[in-house]
Amino acid sequence: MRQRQYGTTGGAWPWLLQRVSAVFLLVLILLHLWIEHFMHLGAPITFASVKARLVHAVFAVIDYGLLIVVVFHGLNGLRTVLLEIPFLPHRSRAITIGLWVLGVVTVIFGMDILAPFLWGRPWFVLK
Amino acid sequence: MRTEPMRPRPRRAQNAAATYRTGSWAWLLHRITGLLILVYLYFHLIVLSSAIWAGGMTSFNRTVASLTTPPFIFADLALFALIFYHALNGIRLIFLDLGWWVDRQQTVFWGMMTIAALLWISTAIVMLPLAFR
Repeated sequence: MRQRQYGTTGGAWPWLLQRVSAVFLLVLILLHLWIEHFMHLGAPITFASVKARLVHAVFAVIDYGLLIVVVFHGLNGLRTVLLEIPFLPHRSRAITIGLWVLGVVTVIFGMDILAPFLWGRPWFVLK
Repeated sequence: MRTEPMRPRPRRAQNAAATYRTGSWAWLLHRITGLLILVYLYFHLIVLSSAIWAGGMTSFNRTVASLTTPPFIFADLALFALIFYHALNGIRLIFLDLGWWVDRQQTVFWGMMTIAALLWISTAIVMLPLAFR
């Protein structure tokens, strides 16, 4: 009988990358919250103010970096939860592939939100 | 009918967390906060993108203005609580993986929670006046 142990169900790489992405998130989330809520406290956030900020590469790197890292960390965490559901382990491959597809779509979707600030319009317009 | 002497349950089959109360609550809360933050992330992306798709900068400005009204400032504070809990407990989990202060888990946990509480209180002090102006 196969026995499942903590830390060995999801694989070593997802385990390690979850911790690495967590360390990045500690910095990126704090920066994101600081920038959005406290840097210009009380001043309204507008399209123009976000655009003026994103012109500087460092803010664009923070936003794009946060998007990629947070989507990975969130969905990798969800994968850990899903794989611990007793009747699901045999579907682990399907779950992993499904979450990767969802993650890539989410990152593209998120980048599309930032596109109007940088290039004047979203890449995809659903109308 | 097979007759086998009763064997003790293998140790690793037990839920290790259940033997450490604080640890199992911390574990459960880590999952719940993690999943809630993930749900929030999708709301966040969908709200912002639909605001832009609906009509560019005008509707973006209108949406963001409505998101900085008092009810949403309180919701933001709830979100901050989730994030601070998940982040500070997460730091403890990394310490645990590194083998640091493993025998003093409970102290580390409450130390982290103190930091999380201080962060949240200072955030509330800064943000609450925005809800009452």
